[in-house]
Amino acid sequence: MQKKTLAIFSLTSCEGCQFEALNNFEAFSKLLQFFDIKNFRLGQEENLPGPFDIALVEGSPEGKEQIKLLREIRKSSKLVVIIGACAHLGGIQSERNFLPAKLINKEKIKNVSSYIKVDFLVPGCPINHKELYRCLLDLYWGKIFTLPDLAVCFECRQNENDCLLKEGKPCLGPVTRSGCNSICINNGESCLGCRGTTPQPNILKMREILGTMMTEDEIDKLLSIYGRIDQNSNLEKND
Amino acid sequence: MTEAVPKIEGHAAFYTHLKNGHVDKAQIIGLENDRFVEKILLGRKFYEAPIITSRICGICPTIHNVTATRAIENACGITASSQTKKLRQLMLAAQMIQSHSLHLYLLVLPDFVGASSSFELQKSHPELFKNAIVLKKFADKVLEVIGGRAVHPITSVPGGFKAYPSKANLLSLLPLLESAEEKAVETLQLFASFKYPEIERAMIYSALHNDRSYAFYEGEIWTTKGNIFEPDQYKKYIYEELKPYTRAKFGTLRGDEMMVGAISRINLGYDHLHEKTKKLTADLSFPFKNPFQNIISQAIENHHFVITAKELIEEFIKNGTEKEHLRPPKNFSSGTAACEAPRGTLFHFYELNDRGEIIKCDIITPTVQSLPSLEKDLKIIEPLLAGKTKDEQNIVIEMLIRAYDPCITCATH
Repeated sequence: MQKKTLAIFSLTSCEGCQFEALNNFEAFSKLLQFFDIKNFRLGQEENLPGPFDIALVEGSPEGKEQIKLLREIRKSSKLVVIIGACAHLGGIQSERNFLPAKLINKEKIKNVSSYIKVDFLVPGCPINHKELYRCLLDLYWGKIFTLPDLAVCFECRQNENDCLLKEGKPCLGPVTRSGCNSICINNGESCLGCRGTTPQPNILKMREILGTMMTEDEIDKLLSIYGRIDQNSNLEKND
Repeated sequence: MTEAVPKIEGHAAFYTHLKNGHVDKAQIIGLENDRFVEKILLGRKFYEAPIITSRICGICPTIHNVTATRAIENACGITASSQTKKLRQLMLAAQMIQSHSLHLYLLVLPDFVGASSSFELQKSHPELFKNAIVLKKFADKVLEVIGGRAVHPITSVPGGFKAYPSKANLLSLLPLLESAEEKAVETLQLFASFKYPEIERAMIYSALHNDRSYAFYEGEIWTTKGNIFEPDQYKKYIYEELKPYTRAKFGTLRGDEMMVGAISRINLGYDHLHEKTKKLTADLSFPFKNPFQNIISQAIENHHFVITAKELIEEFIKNGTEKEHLRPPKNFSSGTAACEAPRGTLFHFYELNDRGEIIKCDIITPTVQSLPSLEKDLKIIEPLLAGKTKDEQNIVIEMLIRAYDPCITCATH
């Protein structure tokens, strides 16, 4: 079987998505039937330059070097797949964009798609390793990898959870993309939007509902835990 | 100056300058970008601290979650129930096993058996690789059952737990217990059998201490220099400074280099290790004086924590878990907590305003405290570098850096 070449790159992040990728090590090593890992600093000594068939990119680009690296990755890879909320939305560190300059005077953090064209996305904080493996296998066989378009509420209902919003507790389930099996709500937490929004989220209505429970400022802070999901979820290049 | 060192957590390079065969200058250069976690927390509600700080590090998120949770509880006048404490201790034990087994097998072992990567190791030594899989699976499964997820826990919050494991979920851990203990024994024997580069030097070790047990969840900080202090006194003892050449901070014990992590905990708390672990380590001589022995210390701890986790799980299966209400904040002031992360003592400090919003935050990570001693040790390994080519010297230096198990993502949070 012809193997495809894979590279795993990490920009500014906690590297948790790489660990989640290794979560099921047995399954991950089975993927090696399909892929040769050419570049993966966390796991191996010898790391080669491109070209790559697929490059996985974790983290948000920050500083000249990382932006340069990101553009090089784009040039040397047939497909660029971003993994995790940092690459997708900017991540927790992008909160600094909204802090007063006297506190932090640094360049704004932008997500990966603000710099380069992105082909596919595996969202979440952290990602779900099963979704990543499905993505890699789909791409190996030349299939287009798709994410579910429904909101987290859909899966949450299937899991028979009580609706937090009905109880007066803030939750971003109605605007957040499903595929996580509503893992946070199953575990007593509300949805905090780590997977970004559905393709056509009704943010205005979401704000209206949340407005009965919290102030405008608190809503902004809730929407921006992993990077402003109402602004950054789209994969099209922003500027 | 080298490229980023492979197989460590985060990006770091090192710079050593040799002059007439002597190591003249040694620097560890963190290449990670600062994410300013302490600042992005400002203005956020107290309960968001554990959620956001767990994102500091993907390999040790649980310890950040629990330490932040405890510090926030101290700032809110919340006392955790005994069940909550035990569940957290189980999570921390699993965190230790997860981190140690990954580090030992995937990052360190290839150096000792001559493989260049964990993937190569899998082909050349499948039986050893299996140990890593069994141990990591056990730890991941425990964290999934108790915390809701293996990376970035969900259930653990200030005041208690948002969800409790069902009996069925707890029982699903039962079949993993025996094999985990078996592999922990094998791991300990394997790493005790390796020959470590021999080097001895005087060093201060610092770790949490508890009079009755092997401290990792709470306690005072003891050092081998004789200092004893409560976690909230940390600013008087641990000095943080910035160096011009790196983004990672450097922390010292009032100006002296110190070592934290597995080797420190073993040197200070050997007597409190589990009896079974002590039996297996009877022919080793303590205290450890060689920085490379941090590796064997992790293998020893790995065994201790597998047994600790096993006993806690058996207790929870026997008695079940009780659904408790989250304990609400009594008041908002400031609070500190210190826990033992896989790499050493982790401090979190928060100050809250009267609306429960964070107005001050300070986090001191273990790697920050051990970077100065690592730089010092890079100089004393000089005899090991004599008569070697540049590439061979780099291998020894990389092995020392890996033995310290630095986490640069944590150090530059």
